[in-house]
Parts: sequence; C-alpha cells; structure tokens
Amino acid sequence: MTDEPDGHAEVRRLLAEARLTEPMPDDVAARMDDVLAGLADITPVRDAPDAEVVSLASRRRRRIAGGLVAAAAVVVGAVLVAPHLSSSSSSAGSEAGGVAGPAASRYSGHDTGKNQGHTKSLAPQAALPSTVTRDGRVLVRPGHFSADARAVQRQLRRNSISAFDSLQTVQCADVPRGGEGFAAEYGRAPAALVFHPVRGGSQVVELYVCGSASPLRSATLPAP
Amino acid sequence: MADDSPTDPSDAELLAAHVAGDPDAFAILFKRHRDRLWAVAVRTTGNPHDAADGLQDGLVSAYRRAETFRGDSAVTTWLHRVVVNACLDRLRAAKVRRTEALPDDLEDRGDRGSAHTASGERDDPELAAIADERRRALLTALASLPAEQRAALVLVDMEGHSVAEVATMLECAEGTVKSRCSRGRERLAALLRDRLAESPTTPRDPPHAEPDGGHARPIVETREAREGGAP
Repeated sequence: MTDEPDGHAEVRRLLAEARLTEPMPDDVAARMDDVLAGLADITPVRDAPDAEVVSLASRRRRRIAGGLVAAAAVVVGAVLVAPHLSSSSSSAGSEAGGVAGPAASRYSGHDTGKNQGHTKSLAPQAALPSTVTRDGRVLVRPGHFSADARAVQRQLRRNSISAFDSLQTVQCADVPRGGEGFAAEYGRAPAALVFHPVRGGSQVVELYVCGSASPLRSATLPAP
Repeated sequence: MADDSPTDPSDAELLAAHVAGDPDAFAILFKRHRDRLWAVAVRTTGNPHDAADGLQDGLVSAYRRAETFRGDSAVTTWLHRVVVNACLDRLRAAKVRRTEALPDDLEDRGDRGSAHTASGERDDPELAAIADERRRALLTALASLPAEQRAALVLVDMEGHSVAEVATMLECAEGTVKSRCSRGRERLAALLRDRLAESPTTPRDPPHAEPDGGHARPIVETREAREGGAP
C-alpha cells in the first residue's frame, strides 16, 4: 500500500465508512414487491389449455373471411387493443386450420383493414414449424421467447411477409412503428411481436406488451 | 454471493427456475440481494429517490432479460451490473449532477438507511457529529464526481468488490476501473483535504477491497500509520 498516492488510503477509509449498511427501506421494498407482482401478472401461462397448434402457413391458405368486428379495449388509458374478431362465417376462425389468417399486421400506422381481401394464394408449403396461436394471436411463451420468435421468423422466411398484411389489426399504443408486427399474447397479456429489419446478418425481434413503449423481451436472431 | 443453507437454492438455480417459468423464483433471488443492490443504487445515484427509480429499472430489466445471463459471472455480479447500469442510464439521461442536496436529503431520511456509525460515535455526541459532518462532506464530494468514477468507487471502495468483478459489472476493462478509482480518489482527496487532515484515527473495519484490484484485504491503515511509514 506504500505505492498508493498520498491521501488515497484515507479516502478509501472514508468511503468504506460511508457504506450503507441498513436494509432497504420498507416503502422501497413494498414498491419493488409491487413491481415484481406486476411483472408476474404478465408471466406466462405455460400450458394454455385452450390454445391450439396451428401452422401459420395452413391458416394463411384460408380465405380471410373476416370483417373487423372490432373490440377496442382501452386499458389504463394507455392501451388500445382492437382485437380482430372473425365474422360469423368464420367464427371458428381460431380453431385449428380454420382461421382466415394469422395474427399479424404491419405497424405502419394506417393498416386498419386496408389490405383485406387481397390475400395471396400460396404455393404448397413444405412442412413448417408450427406456431401456437389463440384467438388469432401468436402465443409467445416467456420461457421460450427466442424459440417462439424464431419459429415465426422461419415461417416468415418460407412465406412471403406480405402475405400477412391482410390480417387482423391489432393496435398497441406506444408500440414503435416500423418492422413487421404480429399480434401476440404473452402470458395473458395482449402484446406485439415486432421483427426489425435485418442488419448485419442478424435480426432483432422485440416483444411489447400493449401499453408499454419499452420492449418486454428482445432477442437477436440470425438473419433468415 | 448469498450464504445459503444447503437446502436453499443457489442464485443460479433461482435464476434458472425463473427463466423456466417459476413465478416465485425471481422474487426470492431479489430479496436475497436487495439490500446491497439498494445500497449501491443509493450511493451511485446520490439520493434515495433516484436510487429507487434506478433500482426499479434494474429490477425490471433483470427480470425480463434473465435469459441473457450466461453464467460467465456470479449472479450477484450480473445483478449489480444490471442495477448499476440502470442507475447510470438514469443519471446520464437526466444529466444529474447533485452536489449539495444529497447528504441533507439522506440525513433527513434516517429511516431510509444511513451510513455505518461506529460505537464510539454513537456513544459520544461530539464524535457522532464530527462523523456525520465528515460523511456529509464525503458524500457531497462523491456526488460531484463523474457518474462512472462514482460507480467504480462505490463498488470497489464502499462495497468491497474486486476490480475484476467491478469490471464485469461496469462492462469495461479492469484497467479502466483502476483508472476511474484512482482519479476518483485523487479528486476526493483534493476536495476533502482539510477534512482528511482532521480525520479521526479510529476507523472501523471497512470492506475488503484493495486499492488496485485485490479482494478481501481489510483496510486498517490509519493516518498515524500513513504518517509513520507511508510516503
């Protein structure tokens, strides 16, 4: 310690003395507990009994028979979700193999129904990885975020992204524009899965819970 | 690292359980370390309000990004990294540079945690007053440092983490941590020159950091020792 500049040891001693040794105050602890509880609320229903495994590709081959019955829900003044509900002719749309289209829309800011009716016909697909959906939303499991995002990405690669344009509109307030957005469900929370443009051989995918401007999850995937 | 009983899950096990979907695991992990994380947040930000905000940011970030933990460091190191970075981000964003309000604010909120008080200081009001004044001066001076220097000093000299650990927490080279600490100490020594000259000579055992990277070596050097042997 003799090579220490003059005064440094004394400074270190004073710093050590100023170490905070008392526990986190109760009010702060309660606040953190609330935060954790809030996070847990949107944490995963790992095995959704009413979910079904549906190939997005097979769903995409169906005609979109949906109008937008539209249910808009304003949650805490910040969340606006307008989930697409199938018309009566496709009320079973979320049943396996029976839906008009996957839960996807571009977050272009003016996508409400604009593409309905021009779904592309698709060439037969090879066996694709399956994506779990429920009520037209991609189910993203918190414990398998990267895997679920990758599955969607793979399907995007094998199909045409534009084929997803004609699908339901989901609006999440604060979700950034740009990229390819998919209506999603994260735990029980409405969410958006946003694929950003490929850069440098990789693609960032983020998940936003509706109502939050910050991504809840993020992963960097290899470029498709 | 927490001192767990054999039946308690380790930090790494708790984090893995959280990633796997255990709804309670992260809360257990956080409660295990929250007091130290709080202390670091308070000293890094300089006040309890920003500390709570920064800690909350870090908590949410750690919760959400637990999958990114690769096990290259201890879970506690990772948690500290997340929290300190959240605090630094807040400081940068707000361009906060508190130079005066911090100590008063802390002292006014005694229930929010205060610095250690040696028993002699508790018994002797005059000593206690001197110690408080010294601590105020130190925290005021500390608050005037650039945030990165402050964080390095808090983690190394206050919390007793090794330079290697702090380099991981701050995501920089060990040399950078040493440099920040050295510059920070130099600045504090200059700011506190008068106080250092009148500093009492009965320090308690501080945490176990070495000035340049070691770990677990108590600082017991006193002013007399310095005057007697050190340059």
